[in-house]
Amino acid sequence: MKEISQSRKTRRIVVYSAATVFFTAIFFGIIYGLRPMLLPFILGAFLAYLFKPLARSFRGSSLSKYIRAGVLLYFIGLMLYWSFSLVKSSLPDESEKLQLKVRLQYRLNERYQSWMGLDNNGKGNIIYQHLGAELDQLKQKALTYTKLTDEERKDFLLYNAPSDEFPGTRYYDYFLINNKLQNIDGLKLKAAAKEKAAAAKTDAMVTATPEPSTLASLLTIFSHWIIMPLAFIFILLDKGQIIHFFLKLIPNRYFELTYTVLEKVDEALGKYIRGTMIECFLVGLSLVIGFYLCGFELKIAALIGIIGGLTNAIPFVGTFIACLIGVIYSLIAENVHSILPFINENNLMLAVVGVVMVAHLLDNAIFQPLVVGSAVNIHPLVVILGVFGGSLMFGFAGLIFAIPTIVVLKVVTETFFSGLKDYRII
Amino acid sequence: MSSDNNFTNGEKKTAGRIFWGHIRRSNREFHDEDKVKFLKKIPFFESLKKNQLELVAQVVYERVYSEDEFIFEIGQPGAALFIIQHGEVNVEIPNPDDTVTPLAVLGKHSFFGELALLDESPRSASARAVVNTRLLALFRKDLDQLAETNPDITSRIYKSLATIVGNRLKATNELIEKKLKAVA
Repeated sequence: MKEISQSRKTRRIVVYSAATVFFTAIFFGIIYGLRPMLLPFILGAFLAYLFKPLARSFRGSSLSKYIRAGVLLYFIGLMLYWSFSLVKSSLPDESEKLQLKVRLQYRLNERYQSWMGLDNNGKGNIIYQHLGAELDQLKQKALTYTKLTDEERKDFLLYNAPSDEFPGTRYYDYFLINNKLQNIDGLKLKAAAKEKAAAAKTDAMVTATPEPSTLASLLTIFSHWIIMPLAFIFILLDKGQIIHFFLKLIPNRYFELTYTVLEKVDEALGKYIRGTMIECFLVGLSLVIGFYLCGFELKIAALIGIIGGLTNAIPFVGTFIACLIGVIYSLIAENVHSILPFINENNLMLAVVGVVMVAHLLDNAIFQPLVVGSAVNIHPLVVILGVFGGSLMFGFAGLIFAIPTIVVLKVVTETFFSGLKDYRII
Repeated sequence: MSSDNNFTNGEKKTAGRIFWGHIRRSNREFHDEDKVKFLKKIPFFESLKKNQLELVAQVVYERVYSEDEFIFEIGQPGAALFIIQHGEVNVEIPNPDDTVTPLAVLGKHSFFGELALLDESPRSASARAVVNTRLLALFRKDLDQLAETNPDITSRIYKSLATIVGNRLKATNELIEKKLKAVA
């Protein structure tokens, strides 16, 4: 009897192992084949997970659950579309990028001269007298990042130089001053730009590049992204069928444990993800209000607010990024009309740093304790190592997803091992 | 001559019906409708209406345990209430000398582990399937989620739970009283 039971046990192990290998291979094969649909699916599932408590709270409504999910999806889509449109319209094109570089270079020089009190003879204030050599080197280093290449200079002239039909842009004057400081021959440059313009005209006449079919590209996007609303609706409306299916596969011994672990992970992660999203939204909103009060255009304030809010999910780094973008913009900002009378172009940079500091303080003192709590505490050193390690291994995606991944791993490991101990499995 | 000729057409049809019926039954899930009918017979849920029982039926898990298999062991954190659909369960307390003290043998329509619906406190006894047993498990977390959308259901369930726990407490008190009198 014992032998029969032993041989049945062996058969069971063999069948389970073979089935696991077989289905794992099939699963990864399907994932590989459907990889263009993976991101829309993950995004749909993530949004459904994020909004599940909200959908649950619509109880007692006479509307069908499908209409409710559809309305929710419509509003989320609208919000995402608005945010993406804002970011897209605020991003500079090729010509604006060149203008930004010229403005930044001009303003850096101007601000440096004003802060150091430099006169025409090269004499400056007390700071410059003591630290002039080092600061000059630092300025030159900063200027190398904003310096235009010869090709870029020609392109800039094509878009901005005055001609018979076009009066030229105001940044053309900045460009001339920048060139003078770098001892660049303006006349030679103009002649080269004219040659380039003529060559570009001929090229355009000879080769007319065919426009890619809009319908074809739309269909491709539609076929991939249609999975997102479907994933969103079905996961949002799921009443535990997915978890029921997976728990059926779990042996009796681990059934209660698996359910408990899943429930705890879901609770901790839900708290962390939803809390972090609300926190990011509040920080972003504080930045938008702060920058707008400082005199930034609403569009620019909203753009920096969105970036600052989103990157706030990465501790320390988010604040730094918002501060950096704000400071760079404050350098090139012109015609600043702040609601607050004491803010002008000269002290805008300090105001930006102040706004970021206030947003950071609000985050630490109010937003974080209220909406995230101490559900998932990670040591600052782990955060820094995670962020750097993530960005080294996976670039920008690694930078963004390092901390959420660490949080998921931490919660799953902690809950799993404490569960194993509680259920006396280890 | 084949053995088929020994049966009449009617007998063949009956055998076919039994055979295919058995196959269908064994493949069939315990449908929600059947679960609703079954749950209605459990004292815990008798005060619930049909539509409320349908919601409960959606969140319960069906599990099958083999003879002598533990459903849970003493000291483990409690997460679910179990209802016996079919079979028998022994509730027992293990002794240090590897023997067990049986507390009760529960049959069809009985339930156990109900205190897990209140909190995560450790199980006060072990539960083991005496024969092959089919159970329904209702988790505390699912009940909490049900409370968010349908508080009426959970308030009725908790009221039943309070009554059952109260009755058990009374019975225990009476038992202690009797024992004390016997000792005196």
